[in-house]
Amino acid sequence: MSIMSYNGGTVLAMAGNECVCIATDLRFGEQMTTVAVDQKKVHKISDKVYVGLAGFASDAKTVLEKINFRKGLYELRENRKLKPEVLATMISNLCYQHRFGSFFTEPLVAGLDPITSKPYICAMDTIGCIAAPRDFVAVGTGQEYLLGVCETFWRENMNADDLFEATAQSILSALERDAASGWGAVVYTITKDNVNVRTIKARMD
Amino acid sequence: MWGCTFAEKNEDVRDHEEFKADYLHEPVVSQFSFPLPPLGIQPKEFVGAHFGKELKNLQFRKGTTTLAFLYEPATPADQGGIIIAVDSRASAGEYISSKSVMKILDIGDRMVATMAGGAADCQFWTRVVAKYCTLYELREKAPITVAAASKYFANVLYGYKGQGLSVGSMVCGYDKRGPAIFKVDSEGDRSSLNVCSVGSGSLNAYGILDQHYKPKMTDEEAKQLGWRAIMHATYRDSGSGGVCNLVHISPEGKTRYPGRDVSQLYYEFAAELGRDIAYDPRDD
Repeated sequence: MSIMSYNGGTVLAMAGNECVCIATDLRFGEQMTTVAVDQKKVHKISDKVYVGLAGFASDAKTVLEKINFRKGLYELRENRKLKPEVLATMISNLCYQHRFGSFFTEPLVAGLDPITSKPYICAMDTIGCIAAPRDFVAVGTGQEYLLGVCETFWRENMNADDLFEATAQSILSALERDAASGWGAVVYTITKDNVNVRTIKARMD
Repeated sequence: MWGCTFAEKNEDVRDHEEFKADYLHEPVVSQFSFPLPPLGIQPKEFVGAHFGKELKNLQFRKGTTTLAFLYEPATPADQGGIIIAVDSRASAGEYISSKSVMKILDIGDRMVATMAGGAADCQFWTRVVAKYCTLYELREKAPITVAAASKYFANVLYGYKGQGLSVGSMVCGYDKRGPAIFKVDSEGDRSSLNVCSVGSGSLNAYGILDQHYKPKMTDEEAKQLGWRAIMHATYRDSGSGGVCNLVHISPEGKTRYPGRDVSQLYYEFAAELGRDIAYDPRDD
């Protein structure tokens, strides 16, 4: 088994009208064994900007620390709020700096522009190639299952409720077929007024 | 023998001895012929070279939990016998290729075999064993013993040792000697056991079985133990899941119980213990 699926885990982000959703499963495994069922892979970077880190958990943790360090430095130096695009570029640069010995984690950024509330989602590979489509992105062991199912659930200009529903249904469907992810899910719904965090009951096998 | 009809011989000259020689012989161990790779290449190497060493797409493997145990009735109201419980997931690597596989295969009226390892290997060779058992019963006018059926199975598998077969089966049944479980695998092993589990989730299942197993149990206790052990195995082992299929073989006969969703079982179990399993997300 590859190092990218050693721990397992899946993250999904979907964009709507002035809102984004980011969802994660809760499994932390070591190959076939499930070790923990409370490991979320989505982390808050600032008020309306979240990052998801799938892949090798040890590298994901290291990368998260490096991201928080650079984000802190940025905010102090520039004295302004971090836009999701800027964070994505920052993570991309961080990843590419390790081009010849990369971290085994695929980062995903989802958030709203702190001023305009324009939704932004993007995913990148382990060495920082950004892909920022306008509909949805997924990383992790369940990526292929998610992209297929999201294609049917996603609609243009969804409101926060519809977006949450689509995201939750998509990740639950993917967890049905991915043995390396599951054991519960958490969905963050980010709107310009607030961030709603909900746990989804999932299959426990 | 196949393809030969009575008409090919003159009925008048057919005597009883000739008939016996033709039709009442012991079935040969295996009349199958499997074409081998050319140029003396070993089958294992050939498969490895073309499908990769992992054999991921070639067959379902690894993901399984199967268990079986013998028990004596605790009260006169119980039957005792054998409980066989299995999960229903088929996986290829981390891809769940099926959620509803029946891993308890029938061999006879009061005998079954469980399936772990390569699905095709298990299904095919169990079918061969079932055929042998049927022919044996017709010839001997008595049902075959579990020991004999499992020994035939083990001998067949031993004949293909080193050719890449992947089978881990438990042959379980009730015969004239009483209940019996034989674990048979593609390495050629065959062992008689009272408590047995096979598959990637077997260690987890053993944990529950060793904790709660008693030689004397009520039928209800025994079934609950089977369901519980499979449920716990599917919880920890990502290769196992789906529903738990359970069969009870008693002196009276074989009872199949409808599949129970292991995820549902987990939530019921947590509620029973009063355990709070709800994950409280923190926004950090």
